[in-house]
Amino acid sequence: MSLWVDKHRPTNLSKLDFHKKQAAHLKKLVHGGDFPHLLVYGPSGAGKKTRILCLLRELYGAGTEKLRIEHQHFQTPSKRKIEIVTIASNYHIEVNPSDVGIYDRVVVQELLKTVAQTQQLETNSQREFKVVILNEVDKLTKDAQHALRRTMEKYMSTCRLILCCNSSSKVIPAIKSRCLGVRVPAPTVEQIVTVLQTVCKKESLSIPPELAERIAEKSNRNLRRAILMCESCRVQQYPFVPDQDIPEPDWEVFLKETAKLIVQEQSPRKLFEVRGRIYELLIHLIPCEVIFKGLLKELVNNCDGQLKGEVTQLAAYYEHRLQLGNKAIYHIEAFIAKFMSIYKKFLEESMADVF
Amino acid sequence: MEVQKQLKTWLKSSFDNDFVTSSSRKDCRKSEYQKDEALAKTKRKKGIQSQLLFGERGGNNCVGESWIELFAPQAKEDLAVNKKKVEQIETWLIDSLSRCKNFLTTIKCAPIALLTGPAGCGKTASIKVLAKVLDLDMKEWVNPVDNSSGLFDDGFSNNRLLVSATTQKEQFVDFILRANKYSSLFVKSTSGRLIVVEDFPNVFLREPEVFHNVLQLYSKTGRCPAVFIVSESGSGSSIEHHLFPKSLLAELDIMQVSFNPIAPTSLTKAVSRICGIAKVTLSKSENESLVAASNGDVRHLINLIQFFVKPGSTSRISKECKSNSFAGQKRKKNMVESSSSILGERDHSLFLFHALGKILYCKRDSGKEPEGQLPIHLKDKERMVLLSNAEAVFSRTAVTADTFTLFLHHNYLSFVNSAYITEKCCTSFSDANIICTEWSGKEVLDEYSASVVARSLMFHLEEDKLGGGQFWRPFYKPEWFSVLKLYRDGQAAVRNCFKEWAYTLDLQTQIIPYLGVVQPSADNAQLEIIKKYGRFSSGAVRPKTPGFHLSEKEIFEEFDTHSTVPVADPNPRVEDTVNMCESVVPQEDYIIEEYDD
Amino acid sequence: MEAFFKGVRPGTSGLKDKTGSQKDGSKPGRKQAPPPWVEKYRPKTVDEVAFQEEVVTVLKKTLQGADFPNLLFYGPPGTGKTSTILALGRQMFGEMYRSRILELNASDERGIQVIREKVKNFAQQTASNRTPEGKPCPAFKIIILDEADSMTKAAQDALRRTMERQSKSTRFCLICNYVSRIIGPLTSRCSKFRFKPLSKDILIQRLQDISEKESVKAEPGVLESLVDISEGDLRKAITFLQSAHRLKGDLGINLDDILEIGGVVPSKWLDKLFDICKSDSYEKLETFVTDMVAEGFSAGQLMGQLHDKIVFTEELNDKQKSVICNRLAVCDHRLMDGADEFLQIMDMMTVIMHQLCHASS
Repeated sequence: MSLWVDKHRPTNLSKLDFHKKQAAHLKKLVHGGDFPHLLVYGPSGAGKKTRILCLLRELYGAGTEKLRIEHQHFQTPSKRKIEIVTIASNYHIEVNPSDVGIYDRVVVQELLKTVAQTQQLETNSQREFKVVILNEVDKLTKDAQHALRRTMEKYMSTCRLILCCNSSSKVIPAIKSRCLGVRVPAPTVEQIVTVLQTVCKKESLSIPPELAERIAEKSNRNLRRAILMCESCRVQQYPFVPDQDIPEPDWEVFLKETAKLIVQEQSPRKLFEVRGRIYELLIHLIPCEVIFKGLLKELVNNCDGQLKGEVTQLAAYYEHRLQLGNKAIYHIEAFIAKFMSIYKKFLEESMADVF
Repeated sequence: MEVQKQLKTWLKSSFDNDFVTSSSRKDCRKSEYQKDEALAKTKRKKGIQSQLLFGERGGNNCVGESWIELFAPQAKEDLAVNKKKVEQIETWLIDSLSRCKNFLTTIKCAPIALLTGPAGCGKTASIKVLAKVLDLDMKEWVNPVDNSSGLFDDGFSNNRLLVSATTQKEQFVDFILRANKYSSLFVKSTSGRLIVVEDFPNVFLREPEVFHNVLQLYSKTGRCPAVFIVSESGSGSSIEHHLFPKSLLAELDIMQVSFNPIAPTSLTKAVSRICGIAKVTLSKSENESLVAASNGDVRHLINLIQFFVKPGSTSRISKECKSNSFAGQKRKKNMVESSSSILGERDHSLFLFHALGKILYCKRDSGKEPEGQLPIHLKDKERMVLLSNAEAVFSRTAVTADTFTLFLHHNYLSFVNSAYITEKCCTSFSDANIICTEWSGKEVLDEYSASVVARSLMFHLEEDKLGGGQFWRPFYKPEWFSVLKLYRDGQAAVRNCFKEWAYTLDLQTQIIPYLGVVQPSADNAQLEIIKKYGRFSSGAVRPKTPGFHLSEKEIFEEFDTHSTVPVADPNPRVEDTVNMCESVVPQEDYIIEEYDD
Repeated sequence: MEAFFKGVRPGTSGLKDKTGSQKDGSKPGRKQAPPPWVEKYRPKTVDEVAFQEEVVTVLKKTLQGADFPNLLFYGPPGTGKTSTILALGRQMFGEMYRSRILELNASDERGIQVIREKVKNFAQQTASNRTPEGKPCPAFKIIILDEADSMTKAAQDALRRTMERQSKSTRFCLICNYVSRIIGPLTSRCSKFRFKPLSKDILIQRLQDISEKESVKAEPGVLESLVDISEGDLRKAITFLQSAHRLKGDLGINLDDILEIGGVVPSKWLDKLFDICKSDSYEKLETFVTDMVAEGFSAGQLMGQLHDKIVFTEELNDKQKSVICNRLAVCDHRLMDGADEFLQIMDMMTVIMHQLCHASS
């Protein structure tokens, strides 16, 4: 049994649940004469991947669903061997080059080269090009992005790229200008509700509209999250009741508790405790920017208007530094310490006002 | 005698096993050395004389023998080492020898001892002397210099194959496992055998596990005591913690004797002993300054004496120089000063523990007024003069700025009481980290980053008088490295297990946590990952201990100091990611995974 | 979009040519993808270059004299720098221009090594003053260094010497956006030409020409907004037009499509954002920004558009504007460093909110 998220993933451009207009455009693009490189961007859980897979199916037919997992080996100029996992069909290959860190450039170059130089085996396919899907292009090093731009030009005749990323501002302009940008906005709450209802119908379950709405609200417009939530609700309690508990991921609860600790007491001792919890979050593979955003969201609730702005700016300041630096803990902790100090002062001042 | 010696060598090498060629040769030399004591003694005497008399003119009798060898202690009384230590080792040796004699009945595991201590504190000398006193056949492992030494030239075997077949590692294993079983044919007279290892093959530094296995094996099969000697050094990685972790020490019942730098009084005695043999006299002040300069290192001390005596041989060697005029004295004194400053004090590095203390307790000279008064509005920034210079402290620790900063970071919080000051200190860590991330300037800026942190802490902690250092606090090792390792391992594991999902943000933050709730029929590996990384309650991955104590003399071994941010970094620094890739799960894991599929 | 025409450009690396010919040879039946419009409508002669009269007149003179000094073209992107030099080459060498022009354009393939070897090798080939057919032509080759401002200093230094040594047989043409990033010794060896940003009328006229020829259906006002979005960059404008045409085909392009392709944040979102800032409610702002990020708009783009709006708004005084613009620059820089979009937008907006609600007077 696979997850609902996979099970009910639409496989056809015309069957997509939202952004139908865009889907129609993409269809037109496929049937038009030339197919450019694409840059698909949008927040996570907006359906970028689904859209890309539909597009592939539209291009090549059902053959794209026969997937195999392969391990590709490359060698860097410094003779280091690197391995990367790719998911491929006869027509396309999907890879996440940022998996190999600094060596992403090698992967980008070598992979595209191999793909472009191997001839299509099935001559009856109607496309003269293969498709390479690169995930998380925004996490590629600048070096790799420049290399990518070069390779894009070089192998235009034999392969097309579909680049997939969350934020297009981290992609260098040179790549952006060589691709057709496709923005995939997150579905709205109403759209999510509809999708949840269709999914439940397919599972022959009935979901009360209130619950669907609550889940949608709680999903932060992330459809994947919404469906996962819905499925875990199903596991926890069925038949559904409108006000049933919607499970949250453990780490979110943990993060909220951490924020509570910070608000409770502002002292070095507490900071040390919080540091331990941050380490815990990191070990559970929670990315730092998520920690930052989560903390900010919780902490701000305890401040007044002016302070809120100040805290937000602090978070932005230290999150940027975190990207520059190499020891996340320093920057997260500096943010927390700053907050503690500001908040303590704020409390003391308001106390003074009271008396 | 000469003929006999040659004969012996020849015979021995043909009887001995081929694999320990070079080491056995050395063994052979060693035992000869002991056996031909009388010869050596006369030779030594002659050598000293000739060296002293003709040495500077290029005397040809005894070239190349350094004073360290010449004046090696010959008896227990000669040892400058603390008597108790020597006794400790001696009783252990006697005890283990007796155990070994009837190993079939009583012995459980072969006796192993580990001697540690700074360089030149007489570890090896003690063992050598004791071996002689107890009449033991000492077998010493020496790293073969060249594998392809012409011993395989028998015309039949393919040189290359053989050489490549016996790596240093294998040779070592063979040595240690066989040397204790087969005694050399010619040294029957001794009352036992003793294996000494001072030189560790480099392989083991990279793969300590292999060494641990060897030790365990030896412990089971060994029939004579083995002594391992490890010199601590102030800088770099320490072999001790690598090769002999505490757990292993306990498991194999290894006796550890740690030597301290030799006390000045013993050193003074040693100086007079040597002077006695060498027939030189040194004035008291000379003696003292030499002892001080040697810093507890006998070897260094002897070197110093040799250097000190040689250049001014005309005046140094007292037999020739009887005129102890006032002028001469003065000159001597000058020489003492100059020579000890030229020869230099031993470069004594600071243990991390003390360095941390110097920064965090931050002693200030309360007697001295700070130079230059600050204007009124800056009065609160005024501090007393620092007793120790932050930069000097850092440079003497011999760790990288990264590590130093991490240690400070992990420990400073217990020194602060106020949230306001914490904030000020905390920002300096962030600043320091930013300073040294630009790889092109890393080498230069590293020092500055350490300086920024240390200075800022010293400055701000003063403000927090309450926490200023009245009471003692333990130091801990930073958790960051283990966190980072767990993070990377986790990432690799997750990537491996969830290949069909692209490794994106949602995988960690959404899919895995919810899979924990939904739990469809995932395979075992996936379930485990979900349990470990999706849940906070059940899968406590982080060790619960508050951190490991940093003991006073411990040397921190740095493993990838240039650690990366555990965010998926858009622009990872070059050297960062090199490490990142190095620490990715080894090849075998992937292979195992493939079977799972 | 350069990608699309790089493949058919002259004098490119051997590998590319090989793969190209291989493909052509092995699969003659395959229809070739239609050429990108940028390439199709690239000016064929110097005269066709739009709007750069000064440059054109000077260059025409050099054409008559059949010689010219080393050139340095600078100006904003999409103003016809590359087109001009290519057209010039074509007019000078006619059929031979493929073998006479070397174009190097990627920033990553231009270390000192490349400058030394590739350029040297190319420069050392002799060029006769006759075409194979016997027509006279200039006896030199042209090396075009596109995006010269992204070359390292060391490479630029190396280039200096190469330029001197090869001056007999080779002319260099450096193309860059910012002349200030070229080292002095290089600029002094070249005659400089500044390419003006294209005026709106010229852009619209060009786009109209192309739309007619390609029979693009577009609503009125589309071309105008296209020009606005592309900020005077003709190449960008043409590329957007083609992309829009690809997506919509016969349906006709409307305004929203253009905005979408350009990745522009619709002005209604901006207006709303401003209104919320005026309300001085952090919660509202947070919700709205979350929504905006969920829409997938690029934060960098938003910063640019905010800047335009801030500069021209009348609700803020100069001091407030300067405070805001200061932070805009900071946030934009942080975004470049890879900072989180949500946090940076929030940072920016809280500053604007503060300025709007608390710092007037």
